[in-house]
Amino acid sequence: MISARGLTRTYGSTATPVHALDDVSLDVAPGELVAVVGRSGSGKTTLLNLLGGLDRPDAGTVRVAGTEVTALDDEGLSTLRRDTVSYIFQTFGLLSALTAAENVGVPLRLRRTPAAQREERVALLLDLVGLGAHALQRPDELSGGQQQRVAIARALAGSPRVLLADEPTGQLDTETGLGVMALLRAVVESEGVTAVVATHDAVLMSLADRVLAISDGRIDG
Amino acid sequence: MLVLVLRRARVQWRLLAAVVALVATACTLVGTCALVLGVTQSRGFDQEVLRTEPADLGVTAFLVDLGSEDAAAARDEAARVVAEVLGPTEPTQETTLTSRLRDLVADAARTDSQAYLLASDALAGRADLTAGRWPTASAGRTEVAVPDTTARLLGLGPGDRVGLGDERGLGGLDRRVPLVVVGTFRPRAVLEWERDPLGGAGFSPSYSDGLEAAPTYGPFVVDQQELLDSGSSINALRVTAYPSLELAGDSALRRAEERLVDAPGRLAAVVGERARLSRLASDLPRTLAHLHAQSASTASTVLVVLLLGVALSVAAALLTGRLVGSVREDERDLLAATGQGRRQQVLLASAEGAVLAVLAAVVAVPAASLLHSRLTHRRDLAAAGLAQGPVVTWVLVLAVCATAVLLVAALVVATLRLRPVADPSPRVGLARLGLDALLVVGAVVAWWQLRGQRTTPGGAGDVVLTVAPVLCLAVLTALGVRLVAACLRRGAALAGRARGFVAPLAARRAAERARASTALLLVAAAVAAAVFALALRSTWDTSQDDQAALRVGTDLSLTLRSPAGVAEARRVVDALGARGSPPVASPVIHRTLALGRFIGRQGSRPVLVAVDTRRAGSLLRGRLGAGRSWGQVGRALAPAAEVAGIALPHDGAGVTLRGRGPAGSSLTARVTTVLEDPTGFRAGVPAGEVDLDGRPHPLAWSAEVGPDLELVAVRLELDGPTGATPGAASTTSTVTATVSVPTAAPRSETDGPAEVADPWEVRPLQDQGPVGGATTDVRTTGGTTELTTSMEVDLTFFAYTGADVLTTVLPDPTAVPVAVSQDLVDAVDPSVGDELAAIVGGTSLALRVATVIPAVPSAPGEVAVLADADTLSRALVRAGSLEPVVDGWWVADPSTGTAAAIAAEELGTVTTREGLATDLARGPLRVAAPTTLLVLLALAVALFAAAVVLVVGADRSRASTGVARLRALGVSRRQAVRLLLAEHLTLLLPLTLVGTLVGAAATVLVAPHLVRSDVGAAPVPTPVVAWPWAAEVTLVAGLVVGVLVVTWTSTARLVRRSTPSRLRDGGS
Repeated sequence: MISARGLTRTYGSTATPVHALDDVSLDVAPGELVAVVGRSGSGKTTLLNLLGGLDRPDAGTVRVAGTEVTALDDEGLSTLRRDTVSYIFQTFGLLSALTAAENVGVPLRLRRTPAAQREERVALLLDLVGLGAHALQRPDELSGGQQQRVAIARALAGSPRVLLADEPTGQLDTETGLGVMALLRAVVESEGVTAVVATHDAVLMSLADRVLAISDGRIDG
Repeated sequence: MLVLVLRRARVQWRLLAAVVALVATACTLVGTCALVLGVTQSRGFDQEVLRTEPADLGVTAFLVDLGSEDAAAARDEAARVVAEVLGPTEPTQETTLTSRLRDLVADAARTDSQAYLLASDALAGRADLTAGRWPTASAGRTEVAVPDTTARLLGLGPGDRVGLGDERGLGGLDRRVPLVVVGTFRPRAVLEWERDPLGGAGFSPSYSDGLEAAPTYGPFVVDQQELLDSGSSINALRVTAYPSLELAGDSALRRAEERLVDAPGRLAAVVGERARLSRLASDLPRTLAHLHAQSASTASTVLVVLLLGVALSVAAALLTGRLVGSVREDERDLLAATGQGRRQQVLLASAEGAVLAVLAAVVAVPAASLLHSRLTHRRDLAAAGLAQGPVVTWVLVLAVCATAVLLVAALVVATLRLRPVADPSPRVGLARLGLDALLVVGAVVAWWQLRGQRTTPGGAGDVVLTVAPVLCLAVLTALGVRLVAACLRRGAALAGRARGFVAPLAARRAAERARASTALLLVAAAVAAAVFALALRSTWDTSQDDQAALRVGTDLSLTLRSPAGVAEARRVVDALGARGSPPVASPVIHRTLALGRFIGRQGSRPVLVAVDTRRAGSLLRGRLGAGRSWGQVGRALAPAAEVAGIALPHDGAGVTLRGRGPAGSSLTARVTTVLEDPTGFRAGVPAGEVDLDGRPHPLAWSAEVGPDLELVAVRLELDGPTGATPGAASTTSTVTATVSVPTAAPRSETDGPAEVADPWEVRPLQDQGPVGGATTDVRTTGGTTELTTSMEVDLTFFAYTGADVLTTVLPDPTAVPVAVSQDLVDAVDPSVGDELAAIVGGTSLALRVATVIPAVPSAPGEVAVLADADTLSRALVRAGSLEPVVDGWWVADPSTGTAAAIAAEELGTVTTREGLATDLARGPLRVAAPTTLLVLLALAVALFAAAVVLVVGADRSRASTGVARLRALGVSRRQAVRLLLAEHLTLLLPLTLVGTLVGAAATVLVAPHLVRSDVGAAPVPTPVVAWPWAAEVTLVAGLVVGVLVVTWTSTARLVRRSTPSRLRDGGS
């Protein structure tokens, strides 16, 4: 499902370059849940950004679901993220002006899904993440765990084939984080989604099909 | 902590620079207004004083009836008193002495006529020598100069000798004054001649100073010392002091006004018994009050601008404070978490604020000084003499510092009070509702007070006039913004049903942001203020034009010092024709009258204005009301037809009167003719006294008779012994008088031969008199037109009363149709068709109300009537009132130079509508008002731009993170731009629209009440809103374009800079 070859990404000036990724290659099979672990600054987020087309590598290629991401233009990348790849952020990334249901519906609106279908799908997903009763609440009225659940529901709304999550439990307490991880594992299985999760949460690592350790921009081993 | 503040300032220098710029901009406005209210108004006062007629600031001491031996001392004392009043203004003085009336001696024999001597040290400026020179002190006969009219009537010229005999009246000196004529002069119609016994006319057939009326000649102008040495009693001594206008500043004139209060007492004390009467008169208090009223009127407009500007600036400061607070929220929370107390926060913020305030003040003081200087160099202000270089005053510094402190305090408070926008609690909501209601009630009360503002001139410090507009604008803006917020909420709910992504999210986010009311208020208020400033300026200007139009009544008016004779009329006609084809013009009668028992209100008597109403459509100016024209009004007043009199030959040469009384009688006829010129001007011209001895006697015209005149009436005042035996039975005898007029050439080539088509009639002018049947007959034979009046006279009756008859071609108008002003209707309550009994100059007339008009041209806000000059003249002549009545001329659409040509004749005051409008709108004490409105416009636009930038660019960091996340969700760059554009425009465009509507509503509600006349009263006509459509459309379009540009630029930049690195930032 995901294939990356020779990914290199350098930030900063030429005088003091920061090699965020250095010749990284990896493959993720369909339906696989891969945990990317490493210390802060090791390159986890950069890897996820390159896989999702949010950033462009200095060198190397990325293929997602048969599409060469690195060859796509801005419009193509948007389409990719809208139809194929979904993100889950450490800070949830919910739109404060919208209710939980409306947040979940955003990807569907981007696809111009008819209202009835959209509402049905949103209700289904909110039930899936256990927030059916909180559909009309705004993000600032929800707890951190609930917000991340909404974020997961939103990530699944467009039926993506790839889920990229950047430390989804980073801002949650252990118990809540555990719940979110369990949910993530469950939806990956139930929705048949391929997931790459950047984390240093040991519990999540235990739930992953595979763990990739990354340090100084290189995959260990 | 100071280190933290300094480091933070280094990091946030752009933000702090923006804050300083904002505060400095507002301070610059306040400083500029302070300079306008201070140095500019002061300079305006000085400039206005320089434009003032010296007579309006002069102080005159009048002394009446002085013995010759006391005159010199009394003159010196009076001079000292008036000089003391004007003190430091280094006044100049003029002295005029007029002798008692003396017998006129001709050929060494006393005549019935009288004359008087005059000495004045200001004569050279008020008369033109036509022959010879001015008199000087001489050893021999006293040298004199006489007016042309006197010289002509007495047959005098340089070198001729004449004498004045005994003084008339009780106690008069019996001492002749031998005179030699050394010059003749023509008086100019300037101020002082109206105080001459004969008004500068040179002759009056029957002048009386309280004694018996007699033909009077004069003045015989002599050297002042000669007059004093001649031993003549002084009838009137007048000493006038005029301030040097360059030195007549406000404080100097105020002190003069104070000294004026005691001056009459001082004058009476120093003159003592030497004069029978002493009086001190001055227009200075009235002039000063007028100048102060103008200044106050302008100041109130500037204060409105100032208050609006400060209100806008405070809103901007609050908004900026919120932005600063938002940017520093994390830091503040961190510091609070590390133990920083509230007091420390306040102290730190205050210290930083103080530095910002000082920086802003340091920038604003020179900026205001420069801006003020630039403003005063604008064409309008420079033309008013107000241009000046940069100045720094204490008032400027204080105003700037106070504003900087106020704004920075507001900013600091807003910074510290930042709270997340949340739904208010019911209690807070209720409190807000109450505050809203209170504001609305306050605005309504303020508007009501403003609406009921005084109609009379008022002084400075009008709080209502200053506060009401600001309150109304603020409340309307607040209501408008609430409306926008409500609409956005509703719109967001509706947009939620859309299938797409951009509209619902943009609407929802716009509705969400609409809860932050400060930004919205500022945007809408800035637009409203800009729209209001433009419309108020236009309304103000238009009202000044309307006031000028109604005040002048036409395009150009000449107001004579004294009613015009045929010579003055000729000069006016010549001046009008001097520049090509003459424009439409009309003689004007403008004087007070009594209406029945209504004689007017305090300080305001009913006014009669009469013009040639056949030309009203092109002649009259002033707003009439919808659907009406001056032409229509004129047609309701104009006479049915013109009349044709008997054309006189040039100079009236060859016109004779031949009369015959009963046998044995020695009757004489005093003849007064009424002559009419081609413009319809009529004036009575005395033509001497003629013996009715059966022989023709040439008429002795008392005035120059020019060409193209027609005789339209002859008055004969008969007197003398009839030869009848006293006490005998009553007998009736026939008296005839024939005026023979050599046939004159036609008035113009287009006229046909002189014809006498209109019927003449004769009517006795005595209510009860000796004249029975009277007939008249007009015949043209052998090149002569003869107008014969025959009457049957009761000789016994005649012996007691004489006879007084008028022969005229003027038909009887019965009642003079008039258009009455609305003020007259309010005062007297007549209806159309009613007749009003009026007294005009002692003559009773019947007026018929033909129509009602808002105001009579040249008599705004007065109880007044407008009549046709021809009809009125007919009525007056028929009533025996032959005195000159024409007080001026009105000219429509004068060609270039007409005003100068008429002014050059020095017949009176020339006023042009355009000139008056310029004075009212752009005079030194007025021009600041429209100019500061431009400053408000500029400030409003600047604050609007700042507000838009703040609204669009607020918290860019958080907005950037939001965009990055949206992009991660699959939103394309273009969609992100569209979303942000839609969000901002959904917020800003309705606010701009609402601001426009609020500005328009405030203009309609408030602007007409803010416009004041030059004396601070409500203007007449009532101001109406004048929309400067082009300017308003340009303004609003410009603002919208500005919004689009700022939004587009900011949004595109934001989206471009929203990188994946933002994805891990907190918030949403």
